[in-house]
Amino acid sequence: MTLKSLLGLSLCLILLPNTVLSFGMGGPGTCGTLCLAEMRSYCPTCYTQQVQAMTGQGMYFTGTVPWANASPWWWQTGGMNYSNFYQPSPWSYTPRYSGVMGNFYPGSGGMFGAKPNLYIEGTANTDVSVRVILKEEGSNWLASVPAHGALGWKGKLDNRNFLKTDRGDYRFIYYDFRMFGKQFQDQEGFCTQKENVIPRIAQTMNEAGFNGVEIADFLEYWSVKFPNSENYCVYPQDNRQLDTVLRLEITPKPASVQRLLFMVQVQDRLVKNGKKFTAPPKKEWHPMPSRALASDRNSAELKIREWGIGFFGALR
Amino acid sequence: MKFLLFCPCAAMACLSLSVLALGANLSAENPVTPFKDNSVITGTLKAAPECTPQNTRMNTQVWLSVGQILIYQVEVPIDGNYEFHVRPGKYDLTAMNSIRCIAQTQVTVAPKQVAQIQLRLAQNASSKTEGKTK
Repeated sequence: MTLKSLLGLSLCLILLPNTVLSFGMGGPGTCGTLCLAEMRSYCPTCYTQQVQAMTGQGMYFTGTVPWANASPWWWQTGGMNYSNFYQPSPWSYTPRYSGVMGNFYPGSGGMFGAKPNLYIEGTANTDVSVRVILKEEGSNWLASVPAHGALGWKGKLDNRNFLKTDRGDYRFIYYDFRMFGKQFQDQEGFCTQKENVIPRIAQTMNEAGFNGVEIADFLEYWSVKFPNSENYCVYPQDNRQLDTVLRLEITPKPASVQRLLFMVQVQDRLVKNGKKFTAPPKKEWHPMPSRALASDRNSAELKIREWGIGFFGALR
Repeated sequence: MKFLLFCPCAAMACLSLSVLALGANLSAENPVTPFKDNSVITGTLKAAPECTPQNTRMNTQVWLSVGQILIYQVEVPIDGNYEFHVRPGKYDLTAMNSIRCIAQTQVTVAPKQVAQIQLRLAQNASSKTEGKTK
């Protein structure tokens, strides 16, 4: 077991039920999703300030006004500002219909791939290009950092495995998409209670070969952003299913590609009506061995790892 | 005679942002296309020198919302760029890092339109201004 995977496991172990974690992976001074989630104590109307002013009629006004001397820097964003900060997206909690409110997004697919993070590991100074091909009819892009455009991402790996592009340096590539997921599987996976779902996914990522930093990226964001539910069923999709929806076109040809998207279903959609993803999976899911590819001579032993979390659109 | 005036507009004044272009391209070499009759908001994130963190791992949070309904939340490095696919409409775009730098704007996009926006982080000066009365 590597040091990085030990880090990942230790992060899982400290993830206690209903506890907001107090670590972040960005380094000193960084405030990410988890950090912002902790900053919810500022109350603009809880403070008063003495003011003295002259009215239009030349009369003095002395009194208090309900705002603080100095607003904290985070008040315009995070949980203090956004009503759905603690959800993955605009989310409908209508019983038996709950899910992502798809009317806020382009497209019509019933599944949302949220925050796939793609990591590239290889020899420094390797020129790399990655392009995502949406294969499923009707599927569409939602977001990406850096911008994907029509041609994809291009850059040079540095010795930290950052992708250096002409528009910034990236520790990982991020994107969201909308799809139908017709080839996705719902037979294997696991169901668990609210307090266990995040550690269980992190544990599965560890078993699948993701390192501690990559698992910490998952924990940092998703320990804040999961929708409320007493129980969840999780259906992991790997290369076999994901390649039917989004094919990765990578140059040079990588030595290995590990893809994993956890489709998450909330309790009140498990209505067992015979449709896919309405019943608990029948079997445990186990990661397949990292897929070794016949790589180019100049592959620089490129290794690709990608994880993501998926949710279902609200039924109307 | 001095008075204290709370002025949210003053905070806005220190935010530097520019809508560079409404067009069809993210760049000439790598065009971005909206999905069907939808729209795209894309652009780069810049920062004033005092807003550039020394820690290169420190990214800026960028938030796209409809008022207080958050649509996308992403991390973008300084000089990095982003791509948001949206339905036509009016959106709020905010970038913020934890060294008190922020950029905010509103953007309205029409069907099939690509809005290219440069966000520029600047220090969020005090929201109070000092003035005089007659």
